Amino acid sequence: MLTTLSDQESLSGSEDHSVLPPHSLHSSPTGGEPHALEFWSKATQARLTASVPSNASILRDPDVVASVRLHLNAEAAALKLCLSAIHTALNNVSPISRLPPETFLRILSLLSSIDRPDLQADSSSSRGLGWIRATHVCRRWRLVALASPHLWRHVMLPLGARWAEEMATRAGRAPLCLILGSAQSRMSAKVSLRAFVRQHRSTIQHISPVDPDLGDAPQDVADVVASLLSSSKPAPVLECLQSGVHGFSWDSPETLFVGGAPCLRRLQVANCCGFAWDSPVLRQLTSLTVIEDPEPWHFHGIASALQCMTALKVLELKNCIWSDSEIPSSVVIRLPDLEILKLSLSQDAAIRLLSHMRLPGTAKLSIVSEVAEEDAADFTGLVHALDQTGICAASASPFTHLEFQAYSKIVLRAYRASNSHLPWLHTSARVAHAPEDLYLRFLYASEQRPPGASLAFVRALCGPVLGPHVRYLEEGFDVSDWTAQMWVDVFSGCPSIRTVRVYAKCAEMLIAALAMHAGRKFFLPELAMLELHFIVDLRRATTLDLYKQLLNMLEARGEGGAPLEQLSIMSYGSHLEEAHLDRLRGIVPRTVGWHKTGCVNARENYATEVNTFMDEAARQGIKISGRYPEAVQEVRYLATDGKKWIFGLLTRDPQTPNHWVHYLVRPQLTLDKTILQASNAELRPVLQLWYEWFGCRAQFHLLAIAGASIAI
Amino acid sequence: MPTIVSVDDSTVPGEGSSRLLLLVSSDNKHIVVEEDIMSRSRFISKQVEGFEATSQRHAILLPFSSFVLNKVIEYCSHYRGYYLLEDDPDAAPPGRSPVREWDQEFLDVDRNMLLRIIKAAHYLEIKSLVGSCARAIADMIRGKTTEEMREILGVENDFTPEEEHSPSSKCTG
Repeated sequence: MLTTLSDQESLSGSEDHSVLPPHSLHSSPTGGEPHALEFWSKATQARLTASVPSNASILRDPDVVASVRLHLNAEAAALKLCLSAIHTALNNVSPISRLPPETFLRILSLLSSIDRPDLQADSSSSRGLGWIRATHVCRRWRLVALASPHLWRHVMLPLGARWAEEMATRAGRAPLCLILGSAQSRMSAKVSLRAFVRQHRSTIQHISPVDPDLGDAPQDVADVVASLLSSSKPAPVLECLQSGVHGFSWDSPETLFVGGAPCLRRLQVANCCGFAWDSPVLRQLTSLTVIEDPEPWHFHGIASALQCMTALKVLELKNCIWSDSEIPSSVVIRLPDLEILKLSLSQDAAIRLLSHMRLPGTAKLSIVSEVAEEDAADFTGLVHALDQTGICAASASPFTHLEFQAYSKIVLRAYRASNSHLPWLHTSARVAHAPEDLYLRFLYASEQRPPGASLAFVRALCGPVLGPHVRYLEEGFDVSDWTAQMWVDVFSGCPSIRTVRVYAKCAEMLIAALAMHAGRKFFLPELAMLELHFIVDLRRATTLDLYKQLLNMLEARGEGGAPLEQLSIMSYGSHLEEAHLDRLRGIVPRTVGWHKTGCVNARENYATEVNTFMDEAARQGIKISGRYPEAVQEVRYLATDGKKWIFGLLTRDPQTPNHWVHYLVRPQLTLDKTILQASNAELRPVLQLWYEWFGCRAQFHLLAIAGASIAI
Repeated sequence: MPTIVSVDDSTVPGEGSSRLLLLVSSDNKHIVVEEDIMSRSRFISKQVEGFEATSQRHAILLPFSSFVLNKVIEYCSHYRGYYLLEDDPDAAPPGRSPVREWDQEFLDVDRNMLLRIIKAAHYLEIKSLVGSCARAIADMIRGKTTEEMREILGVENDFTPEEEHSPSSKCTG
């Protein structure tokens, strides 16, 4: 409304306010004072009368005009200041400004962590500033930000010298996190990395290189890291150093941190030649990552270095070890506090290194090795090496997460085509179980696996050492040739299993195995949640006796004191009849039936369902993220708690064949209820839904329907 | 500080482990809620400790509306019995509290309501809810231009022309 004061009519003193609609201009909130428009109009009129001569002829004099312009500019500037003050007053009563200062600072802190300055942003726009744009919103926001040094501690040197110095100044004495890299060409002034690091050495806490794709001079980064490592001056607060950049090798100084780096705990070394691994400063590390060492360690070098790093909690070694020399058998690398071990080494190197390590049973392991396909099934060397680490010793608890995956010949080729490694052994940290639980997941699909290899391997894992700790079991397709008795033989040593998820033929055999019991001694006595995925049409199951066997088994367990808490049935290709579900619910009240789509012969129906879903989404104005919603081919999963729906959709990207994208949509939608065969009262929100890539294709996994009393 | 009024025992039913609390909103709505549900609020917990010290039952008057209070109770009910890291006295550092999926839907409200909830959460000392609200607000303005941020959160540009163009006030690299 104040902008109306700049209207020509107001400035000329006109009293015609017909162009000023808001009646609030004419009334005062306090009643006794003159209303805003009257006050400001009178004040403005008075000022203009004093500044602008009434005699028009005088305005022909250039000197007079210049003087008038000067006066009017001063008036305008003064009014802008007044306007600014009024806006400040307005802001003071806005809801966001009435938040407690610490709460508002929390918002800014969160924003700074999720909206970092963007090195690739168009320099002509302010979008590249990231969260700093928020400091340009108003005075209060800027003052709060400027008074909070920790907001400014992330200094991205590639953004240029002025930026870096300004951020460091604003950070004050807060520990700095430097993102190293040369200035981009769009920036006017490159920062001298070496000078900057030297100047701020006392407050640098964290150093990491910029993404190599964004930096244009890895040599600069390597130089500054080398100078820091070789400096005789201390780095008193340096905690984390990530040195080197991918694809560029550099030389390490012979001695490290002569001046001392008492707080150094995390170190990542990439592409470094001749790193001084015997440096005393490394003994205090809690995290060490070595990537692509151009001069790979020999085993004796690794052993002597790691033997001294007894405080390590995280160790990651990637393509950095030669396996051409032996370690004396007496050498033992004890890492009692290790939590995470990631090895991306040759199978031989990984096995030989593991055989000399002694690790706590709670450590999480990830091993990624390139192996010939025909060797992928031979896990015996690895199992033996794991045994050597001590984690499988009777006195120690086993690993908390082990996940084994092997891939079919077809998928394997896809991986090779994309230059990816074959992750033949891989751990998963996705599912957070209690530390003492073991999550076992076998997803074999290899057509090349020698017959019997799976049985031998699974039997070895589920022996007396690991078996009692297994709580979750997921079985894939490669054990479909197992008989029910083989299931009993292998998993009788796993009495703590509470959750089982099985597919196809495995599911049928497991039901048969569960039905085998002598008296009250049930197979898998602790089993609480059973998830069955059938490829077969379960409507035919009655004729196949499977459904009846399932009923009998559930009834027997219920009567024998080992009832199931939840039963989930995924039927493929057709719907599970409601009558069957009701019968099952009579025994296991929390029974959920799912119709998992995806069968070729039913695609038309799915297309209809997807179109219905899309139409409904559009009708409700719900935006579906993703690029090619029209290419959706399948509804893969869906769940509801009666209020909201979760959809997992697979689409085929028409522009990049063999690439699948997915959508998860959580609107309040209604869809053809025949897809979902359970009353809403029986359903719970999906506990976990994830997808993973199998070569060229993503596969969705529905872990569980969350139930309050179900532990998985 | 909240106003505390003494109430009759019969007003607040419940004994022993299933004790109920009477919360009174600023619009004078009386809401009975299980103490266990509100235990996530450090403010409420401290009030209850005070009750126990004096062996008297009280109603707790709160300076926000029943609409806001009910939202807070809905949140506390949803996470009843859950351990939330942010509610720990020495919580995780800011910036590491992603909004949970349920929270996202719970906080899918208009701006003013969101701000009222965060104020109430701050008052009641429910750190996890403060964190979720803060994250939701941060997400609202993430990637937005300065003008868009003003529009979203109802803030005026109150910089003077000099401040607007001051080289020290804005760092553009």
